[in-house]
Amino acid sequence: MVAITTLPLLALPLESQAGSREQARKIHDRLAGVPPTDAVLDLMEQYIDEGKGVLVGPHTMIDAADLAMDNPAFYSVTLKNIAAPWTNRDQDVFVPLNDYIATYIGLVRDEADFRRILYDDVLYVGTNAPAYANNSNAHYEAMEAANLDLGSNAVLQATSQSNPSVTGLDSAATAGVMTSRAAARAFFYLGTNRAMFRYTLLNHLCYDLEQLKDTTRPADRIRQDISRTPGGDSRLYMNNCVGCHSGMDPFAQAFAYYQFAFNGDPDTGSMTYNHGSVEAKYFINSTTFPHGFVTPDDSWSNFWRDGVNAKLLGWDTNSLSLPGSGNGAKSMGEELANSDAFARCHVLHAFESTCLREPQNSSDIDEVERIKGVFKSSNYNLKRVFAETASYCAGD
Amino acid sequence: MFGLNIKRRVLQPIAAHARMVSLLLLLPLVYACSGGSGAPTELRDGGGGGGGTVGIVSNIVYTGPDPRDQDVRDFKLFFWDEVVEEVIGCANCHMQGGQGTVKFARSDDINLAFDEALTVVNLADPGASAVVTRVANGHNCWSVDPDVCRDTLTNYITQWAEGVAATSSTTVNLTAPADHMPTGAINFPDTSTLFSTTVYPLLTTNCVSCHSDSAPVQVRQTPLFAHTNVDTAYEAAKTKIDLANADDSRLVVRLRDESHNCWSDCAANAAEMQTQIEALLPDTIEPVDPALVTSLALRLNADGIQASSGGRIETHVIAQYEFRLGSGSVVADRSTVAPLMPLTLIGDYEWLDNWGIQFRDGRAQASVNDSKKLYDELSATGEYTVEAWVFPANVTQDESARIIAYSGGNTERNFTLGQSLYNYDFLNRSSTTDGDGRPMFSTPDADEAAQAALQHVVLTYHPERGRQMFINGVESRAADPDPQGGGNLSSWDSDFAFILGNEVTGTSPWEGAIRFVAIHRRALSQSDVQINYDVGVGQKYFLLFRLATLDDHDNDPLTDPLVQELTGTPNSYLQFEVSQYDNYSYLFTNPTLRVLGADVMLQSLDIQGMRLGVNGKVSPVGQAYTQLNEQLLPANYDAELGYPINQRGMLVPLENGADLDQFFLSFEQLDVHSNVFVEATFDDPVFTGSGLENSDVAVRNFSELRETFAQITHVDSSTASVAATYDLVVQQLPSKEDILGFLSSHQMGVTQLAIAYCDAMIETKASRDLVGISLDEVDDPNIDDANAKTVAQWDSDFIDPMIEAALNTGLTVQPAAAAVKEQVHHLLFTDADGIAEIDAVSNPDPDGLARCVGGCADGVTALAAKAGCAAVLASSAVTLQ
Repeated sequence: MVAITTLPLLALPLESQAGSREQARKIHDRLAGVPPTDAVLDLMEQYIDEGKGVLVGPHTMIDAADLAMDNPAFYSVTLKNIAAPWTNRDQDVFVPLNDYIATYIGLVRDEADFRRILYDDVLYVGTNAPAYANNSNAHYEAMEAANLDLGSNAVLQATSQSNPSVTGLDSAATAGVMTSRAAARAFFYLGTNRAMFRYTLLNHLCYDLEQLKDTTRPADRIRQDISRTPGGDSRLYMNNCVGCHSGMDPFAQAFAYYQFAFNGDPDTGSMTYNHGSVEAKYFINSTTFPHGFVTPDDSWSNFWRDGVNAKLLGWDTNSLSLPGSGNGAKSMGEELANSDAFARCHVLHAFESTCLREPQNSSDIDEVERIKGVFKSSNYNLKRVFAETASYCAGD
Repeated sequence: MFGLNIKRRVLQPIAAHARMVSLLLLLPLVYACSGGSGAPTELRDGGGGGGGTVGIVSNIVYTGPDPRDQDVRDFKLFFWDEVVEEVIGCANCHMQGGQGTVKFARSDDINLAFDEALTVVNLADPGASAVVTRVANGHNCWSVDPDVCRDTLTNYITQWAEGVAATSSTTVNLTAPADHMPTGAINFPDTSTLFSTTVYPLLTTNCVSCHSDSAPVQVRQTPLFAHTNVDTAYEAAKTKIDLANADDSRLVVRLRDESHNCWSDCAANAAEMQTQIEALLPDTIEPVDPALVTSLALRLNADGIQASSGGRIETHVIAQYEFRLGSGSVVADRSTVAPLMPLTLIGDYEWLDNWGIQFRDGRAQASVNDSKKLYDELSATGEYTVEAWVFPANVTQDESARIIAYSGGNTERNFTLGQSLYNYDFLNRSSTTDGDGRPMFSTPDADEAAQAALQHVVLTYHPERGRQMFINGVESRAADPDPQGGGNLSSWDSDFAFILGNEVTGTSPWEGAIRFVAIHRRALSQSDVQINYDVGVGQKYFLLFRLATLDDHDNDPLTDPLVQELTGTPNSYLQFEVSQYDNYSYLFTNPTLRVLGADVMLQSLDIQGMRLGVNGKVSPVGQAYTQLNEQLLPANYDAELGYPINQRGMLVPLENGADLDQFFLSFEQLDVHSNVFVEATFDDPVFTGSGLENSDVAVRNFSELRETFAQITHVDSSTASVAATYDLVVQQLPSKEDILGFLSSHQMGVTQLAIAYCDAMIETKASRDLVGISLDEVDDPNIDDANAKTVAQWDSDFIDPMIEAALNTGLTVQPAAAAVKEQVHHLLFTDADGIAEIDAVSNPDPDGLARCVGGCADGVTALAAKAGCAAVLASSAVTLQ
């Protein structure tokens, strides 16, 4: 191997010059993660100039962003890196491609109603070998190892989870990525299935439980395994535990029939669903507080429709007359996906990915709200959101 | 007043112990017979009380005339046989010839004893019997805890009253409590601010020697109301302050009436304390919201009906600890088997209000002499049971932290219950184990049997089955029994001591609470264990909330207050099972509709949105019945069971203690009465930015770098060589784009990855062609390497296309191509003289990477090209975005 001295840091302006070409380069960098070719950069510059009226033409900066998103790296790099931490408890970005991530990428690519990610009978699979398997992630790892173009319909295709050649899950039991194998491996693995709710909340509504603590919610659905006197001090329960569990436990009841079953190596396990049969994990440590809630079925309730979280999360934001309760993960996912927090959260993910920062000031906050409106009015087209945020952060 | 009897099954009555010896022995122990009804407990063997003395009478066998009827037979079986037991000792004075006035323990004629006994018992209300009141007031109580004596005699009389036919049940008499409307209450100030300037200075000045964390452990006494932290002290002091009557506060009573460590004159000190307490407490009572639909109100100690704790299997109990005293340094043995085995508390412990002791680094130890009872009883039967309700503080304590032990040191014991992380351990010395009780018998790791929760833990030893453990009624290792099997206990040592919470050496402290311990001289069966588990632990009460309101509108004292029923069925009550859960809350469970004085509901009842209120307020926290929405139908009402509504339980915060806290129910809908509960409203959320300044310049992250390199070099990332390098260095590449997080180690990873891609590109003609690089000598051995090329040739063959692929044109935010090119020239051609071109005259020995002294070997061109490529790829011109 040769001895190498890399070039010294060359003189670079620390603030972008806001010419159209520089804007185009930035949009491409932030969306695709890679630099454009000169040909692409030329066309993007032209579109931007058309949008500014410098040149005559129908295009805008959004069209320029769309060009950038034609680069396969937008899918295999940018979108993958956004979703990868959502698929494991450590929030590690260095994980292989899986069906959760692929479904996220596919729904963005196909400009689908992005709410489906939490409730629909949908999964994106590849055409490569080995085929999708319920007990292995090899299909997606092979796809990634071969560096296949996830932006291509010929490579990554939408299908139904209930398709017998995929999971074969009862369609009514499907709930977007929550019932993907990767999510099950991470969040139905051992435990009490509360993890699936907590991480879905964290990744798709951008709130962790700590931020949503509300001790005034009814405590009647808190399961038996939660100690009412941790360490012999019930004040801890009254002031802390109840704040999260009162809201979380009635939500997580939606997953009562799901389990991640494995024998030995969990990476060879698969998700199971037994309709009408509450998993044993819902009854573990039942003697901790025998007077707690005993899960009878998979009915769920959203106790956060009242209290301080009602406006914070903004339920049924599309006026679908959702009842705020139901049975199973699908209707629960629909409840989450139609919250204002869901829309805002995915705008924030796009914003942070393309601007490489959180919203800093009121202008950023206002822009997030505006783009959230665009997201909703475009029937939850998340690809449009990426174009919007990248354009905003391209500079004036 | 209406009443309802609930029959509860009791599987075993308390049996009279075997009486083997037909001798009447007078032992020369001093014993006090007389006793006033004064307050201090008279301990017979503690030297308390004056009066005459007699010897202790033991081992009485009745030889008089037969009982004249069934009533007398019941009297003898359930009362007389028990009270003449040596440990109870009534025969010492109340037998014929004794000093006691009433000869209910006479042994010459059971019928006369019966007649005498009737004058001091109340069969209709055993708890109100004169004989019970006497012992409860301390008259010759055989225990350190007068409640033990009160409860024991009450139990005997109850069984006598119920007779043989009724021995399979105990009765809970549900009587209607007095009617009170919910009132507001004086509440403690929310913060300790006022406390810190009123009561606290008195406490820290005068009580700090014992009631503070700063006091030496040996003399430290709870509650720590002189704690160095004023908030902690405030919480502790609250339990000793009577909100309703400041002069009844324990802080005052102890000084005024009990002369407890007065600092000068007790009366003056008490008055001073009372003044400060009055200064602390607010003057006004917060009224109850009149819009609420409420039940009538109850207090736990005043109105609670004790739920029977009957039904336990305790026929063979020889020592029992219930930790009821709540203070002091002695734990009473509530068994009736002599000698009693009280425990002395040492070290860091705290009494729990709900019956229990929290051990931190403390212990409760019996004397060796008293402990010998275990040796005598258990080695005689050869089997035993250790039953306990424990609450481990954590699941991190290891090395078999001693919960209950009968031992002589760290390696010598008769038996021990210990905790190791998630496991309970059972050590027992027998003919099949060593002197330390090993091999140890433990719950399986996978079960994680020990939890930081209240658990019923039972150890049994049987000469055939060996050791067994039952956790919450379920046998652990049922399929994997004690491999040591049974044996005998002949190797037990009578010189060991019984101890809770530690080893006798003090080296294995256990952290947690113990709420009950019983030692049985038989191995309980699985079903017996289950029964005892089902009974639970601690005192439970029934609270009967009347579904009515009181009206005194006409101000006529003859008719006021007028009871206005809130339901269509008069005398409807909502019954809860209530217990004090820990030092900070009450547990309410199993709400059940009761109609007192009738067996039926007259009308259906709609009930919706029930909440529990305390001291005039309905706290929104922890309410477990707000979702209740039911119509109770008369057809479903059961005369005996009532109408169970819900099996859920909820915690209610303890505010002023079980004497003072007043509870009530409120409803959103109760029959036709409603009060719509309105949720609090909140403003729309206001989002704010981070306020941080972020660099607009960022570094590409790991996978962005990979794909950037792939795109520039036209080497697919799936290529084996680059994939292998990427997998190797990926964790060394920047994981985030933030330029402030960029480290020199990141740059090393970037360089390695760049070299891999450049290597693959230069070595692959297809890639070179796509980039526009024409270094044919890389593949063709017939073309000379390196030195033969001029700088201009290098530019056209490699450097210019390389830079063109790596950089965009026309950007002001990227280095100019010429500047980059100059850098590459320096790398490939420049020596110390700064001369780029090779020249036989002026520069015959160049040392740039693309130059060789005396001509280059094959491969130098490729090497130089890879270096030049890597220098471009790994530079900020490419890695920044």
